[in-house]
Amino acid sequence: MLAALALAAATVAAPPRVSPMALDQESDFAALDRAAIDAYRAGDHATAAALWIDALPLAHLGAERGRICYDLGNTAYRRDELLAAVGWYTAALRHAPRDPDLWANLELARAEAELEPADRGDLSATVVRLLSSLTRGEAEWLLMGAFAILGAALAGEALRGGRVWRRLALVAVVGVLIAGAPLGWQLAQAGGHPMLVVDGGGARSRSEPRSDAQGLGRLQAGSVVQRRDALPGWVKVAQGGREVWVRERAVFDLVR
Amino acid sequence: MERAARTAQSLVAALVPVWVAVWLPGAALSFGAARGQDPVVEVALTSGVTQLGNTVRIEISVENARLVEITSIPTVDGLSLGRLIGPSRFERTQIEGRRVSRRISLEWSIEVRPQRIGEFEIPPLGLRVEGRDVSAPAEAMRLRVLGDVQGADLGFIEILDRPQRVYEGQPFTLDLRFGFDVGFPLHGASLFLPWWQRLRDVIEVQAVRSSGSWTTVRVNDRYDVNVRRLDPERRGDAEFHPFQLRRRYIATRPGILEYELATFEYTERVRRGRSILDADQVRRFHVYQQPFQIEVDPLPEQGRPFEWTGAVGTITAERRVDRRDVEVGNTVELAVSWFGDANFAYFDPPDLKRVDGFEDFRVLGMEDKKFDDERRVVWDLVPATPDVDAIPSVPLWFFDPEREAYRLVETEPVPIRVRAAPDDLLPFDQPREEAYDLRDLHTGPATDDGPRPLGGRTLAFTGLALPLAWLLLRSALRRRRGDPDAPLERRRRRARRTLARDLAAARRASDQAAALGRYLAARTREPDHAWVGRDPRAWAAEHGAGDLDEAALGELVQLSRELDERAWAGGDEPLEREWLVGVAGRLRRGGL
Repeated sequence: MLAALALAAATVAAPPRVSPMALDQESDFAALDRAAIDAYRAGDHATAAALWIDALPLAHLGAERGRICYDLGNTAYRRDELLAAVGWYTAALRHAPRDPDLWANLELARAEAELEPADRGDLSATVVRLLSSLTRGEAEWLLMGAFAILGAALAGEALRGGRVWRRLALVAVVGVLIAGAPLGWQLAQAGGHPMLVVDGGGARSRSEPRSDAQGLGRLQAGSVVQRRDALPGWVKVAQGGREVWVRERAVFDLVR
Repeated sequence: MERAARTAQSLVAALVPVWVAVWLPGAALSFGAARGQDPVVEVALTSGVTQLGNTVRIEISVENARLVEITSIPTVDGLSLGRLIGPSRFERTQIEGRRVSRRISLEWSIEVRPQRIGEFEIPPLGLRVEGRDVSAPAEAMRLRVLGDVQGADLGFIEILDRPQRVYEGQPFTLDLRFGFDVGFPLHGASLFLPWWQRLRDVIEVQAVRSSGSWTTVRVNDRYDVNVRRLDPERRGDAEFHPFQLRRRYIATRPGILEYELATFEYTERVRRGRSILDADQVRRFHVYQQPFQIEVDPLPEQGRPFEWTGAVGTITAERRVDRRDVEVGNTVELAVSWFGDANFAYFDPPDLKRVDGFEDFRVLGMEDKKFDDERRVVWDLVPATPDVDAIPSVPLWFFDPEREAYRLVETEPVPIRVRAAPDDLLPFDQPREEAYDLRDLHTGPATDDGPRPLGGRTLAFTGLALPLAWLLLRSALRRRRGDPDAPLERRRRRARRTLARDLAAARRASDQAAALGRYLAARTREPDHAWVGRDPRAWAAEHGAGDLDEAALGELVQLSRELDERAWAGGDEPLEREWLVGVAGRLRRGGL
């Protein structure tokens, strides 16, 4: 039992390799980031946005991607692109789910875009926020910690037996289930490719990716849809069991 | 006896097939003949004469047919025909000798309630019988409806102050009064109101309930409705017990609201029934409220202000605040109540964020309460600057049906004093801008990416390996040592602590010897006295305790001998406790 835990620890103890190309990327990233910050401070938000968008693929840390998404959200907000700001902040949440600045800016942008709060404060919203408050690594380590406690409880039960150890083991099993909930939530979300509707009037949906195709109504601004397919200028999305085509510019990719 | 029984059984067994063989063909022939008869359709009124307030029925009967459909029911001005009830199926089989006749009939009924006095003709009904269209009866049915003259002398029913015309959205009240002579020996009373809960395009709203005495009256033979008992009143030469049934409505659509004939029925008992099957005989009296209409007009579009939010009626407004002296950033509760006769639950209160004069306030929240005769809205207002000296008027546009025009009702402004906050003398809107602005960029490079994901395989392996390892360890340990939670095992694990406790309490060598014996017995899972007089070397040789080294065994022998000598030959002086603890520890570590 302890060997299992030791093996798991050994698996992650090895440091990541850093290649020369990665070092070049890091320096490019730092230069773009610095230039974007300077442009933003100078009030040139369009240039800042362009530089950060170029820098985003070069960021090799999830936390860096989250930071760039956050800064892009600020840039979009300053350019009065409120729904785009909401999109960038929502994308940043995947990397920095507990960042208080990020949540504050997201709620501000949503309020000004007349969307309901991201955290409505009711029971279901609170549960979702709890489940999504960890990064993937944190969620996995939380589960591993619960496994360690379970291992100790099971070892005690095997060595000593008795009602107390059995109950401890049972509590540890429940703990594993609870600790596994954030990871389970992330795995459940991982299958999809969420996109945010950022067309202020609602994204006009069509049956086929043509301007003259049959209109099927509008997807509400601020709603989250799942990407299914894409063609130049068009994205096929699913919402409420129905798949429709919308203009690419009407939706915002939340996977960054 | 047994033989006689068998004979009787044989006889019955022989006769039954013979009887069936004789009877069945006849029955089949007769039944076939019955089926072959033409259908007979009968449609008739139960009575050709009735009193206004009573009902008659159209009864429909079709014989010798299985597939029957009522295709058309006529409408007659002045008569209210109820829904079709049925069909009821009746079968009558008659056996006369070998002849079996069978009659099948399907029956329906329709209740007819007259709406006025007069003579009426009810045209034939349309039926489809076995695929053929039939009209029945051959001629129109005649019904003569008489009024109840005496009913109007002893009772009354009327609607007071009913409007001839209302606007859509305007609430109106139907105040139905009815009653009977104070000298009338009342047995029962009921109302028949055809429009009750059937009016389309109106919403019933709660009427303000008056105080007083209340009783229940049956309406439409279905609803028990509370009515208010009023003081006796004189009408002409007679005095009556009056009752009031008040209902309030809002018309939702332009058009005509039809109120058909309303009937108040009151009865006196002429003979008391003697049993459940012998019901009371009663005499019924009727009095009528003639049909009437209310015209619902559309609200005029001319002169309709953009700010109008649906209020219709006559409205006055009042306001109050919870404080008049406030600091910048603190909250003032502004409560506005609109009173009068209006559709208070069906309009939107003004949006203060869009009302002129409220630019220097932040509207934090709103509590909206709807009552029958009042709409009360409470806003939480925060003055944004110390320059504010009053809460402005709150306007509400409404349509006044009396003046047939849109009017504005406004509250009076409320003078207030707004003081700068002691710790922040800046106008409120400056810090507000900062407080609600974006949080700044994140510029520092992120060096910590949090814990690296372990990977699904590692977690899956751990999740599977844990229970497996537990099972293996558990079964191996139990096979080797038995249940670790068994009393002897627990005693064995506790032996060291028990020895320490016993030695601490021991004052004599004999106590120490007993404690050592209990320790050894616990470690070897034996009874407490098992080690009394035992040779440790012989026991070790016998039980194969090879891990116990000779030195430890020798020390145990020497220790036991020393304890015995002191206990039996000396003054029972105790040995040094550390020696006993040391020997016990060495034995335990040696595998005892």
